[in-house]
Amino acid sequence: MLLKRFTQEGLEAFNEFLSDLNVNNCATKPADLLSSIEFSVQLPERKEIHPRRFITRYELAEYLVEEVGIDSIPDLEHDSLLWSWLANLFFDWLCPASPSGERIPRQRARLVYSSEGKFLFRHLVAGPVFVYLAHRDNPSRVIPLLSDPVHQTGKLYIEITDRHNLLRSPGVVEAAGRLYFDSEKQAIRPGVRSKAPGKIIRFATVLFQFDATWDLQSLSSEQVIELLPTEFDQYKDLAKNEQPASMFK
Amino acid sequence: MPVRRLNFTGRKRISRDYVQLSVTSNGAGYELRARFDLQHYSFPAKARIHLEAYKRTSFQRFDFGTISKQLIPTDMALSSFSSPQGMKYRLKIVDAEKNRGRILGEVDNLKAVIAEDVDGAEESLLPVEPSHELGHELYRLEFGTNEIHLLVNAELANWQEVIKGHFFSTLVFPNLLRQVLLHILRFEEHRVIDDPTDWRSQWLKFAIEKLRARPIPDDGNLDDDHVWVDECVKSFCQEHRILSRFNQAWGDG
Repeated sequence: MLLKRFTQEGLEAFNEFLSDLNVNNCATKPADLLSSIEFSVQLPERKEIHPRRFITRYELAEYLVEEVGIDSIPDLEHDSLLWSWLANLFFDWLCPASPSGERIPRQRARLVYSSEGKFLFRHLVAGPVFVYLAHRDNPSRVIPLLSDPVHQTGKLYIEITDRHNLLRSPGVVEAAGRLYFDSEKQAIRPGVRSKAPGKIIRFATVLFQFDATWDLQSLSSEQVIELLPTEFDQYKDLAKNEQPASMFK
Repeated sequence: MPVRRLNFTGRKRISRDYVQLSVTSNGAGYELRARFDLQHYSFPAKARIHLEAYKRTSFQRFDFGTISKQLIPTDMALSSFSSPQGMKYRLKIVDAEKNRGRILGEVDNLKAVIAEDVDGAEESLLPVEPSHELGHELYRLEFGTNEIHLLVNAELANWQEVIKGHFFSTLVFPNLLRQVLLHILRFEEHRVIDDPTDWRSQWLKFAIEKLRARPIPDDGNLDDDHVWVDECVKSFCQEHRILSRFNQAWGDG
């Protein structure tokens, strides 16, 4: 099928469905949201898209960028109609049903795109794509950030994307992966999501403070890790065994 | 009372007077031009010069070589940005030797002069951006942390021409002026024009200098603020002959 975006009526209908779903977790998504010309319009760029299940957020982002070519569409950051349509397209995987058929949509910003503040990265389709595009020079660097299932937003992802200056730094993103991602198991290490010293939240907080003094953009992951205080020693030792980004695939 | 800033890092603040930035059109998009005068700061010869361009999540970084050997990047295209409006810049001088990566000098919140042949080139107090998120609203003012934008509905046919037209400017601009000035005084509680990089100071300076407003009320009284803003709007409407232009546009059909 061809990539589309919602009309205003389509976006309103999608919002109404999500409101219904909040009340009745078994509500059925209107079938014509994707197809009716009242609700969806083709993009002038005419791009093919084939919805399928993706295991991780990285796979979803990689598909949309490398196969669909979504980054050639202008002004993506403000295109709520496009991103919301895509959330509708992938809805069954972004908001999976329980065995009893119930779906819990949770925060609206996960499905209906908003470019305001941090909501931009909270969208389950747009967020991973923007992260992927921010590291287009070496996308495998963001595999740790995007290692969660498509319907989940991991702690590492939240802490890095909440601070744009960290997201922009290749060394920081790579260091985060080496410290907190087990490349053998292809999963975030257990026990790193708390607020305790040396964990992910502290990593983001400490580096955010360092940004006033250090040009994080020019530091390698090795240099970033060296800057970290002793509370991170446990993970520094683990990071030594992890090679820089290319090993994340 | 002026606010003292404490700096324990040894990082030097570079004066924006020594940085000139401009944006031109290169046919396919926009290109940045930059000139720096850093001789006053005694940075180490091998310290690196980086210029960062940013707007919301978009970001681009240019490497200008070292203090002793400045280079102009071969590619200065602002390829990550759809419009130069609302963009800001940060210049960093970074240690490349003893403490590699340490910031030795910096200036942030820089703006570029936009060349006349670039769309929206007039230095605008109110950058305009299209938005797909307005539903059936035609426009909305968006107040950010360090910026202000006018969002215009991207679905509005020929929106760029519409906002330049007489109907939009006469019906909307006076109200925008009122909204912005009241927001600055009442919500931001900002009443000074001392910081040229601060959008709030820029708007108040516009009112004082271009609209010949009397001094900004400083006691925070609601009625005084409303009267002052009303005077600014009245002056704006007189200056731009709002009523005459509207009547003419209406008469022209």
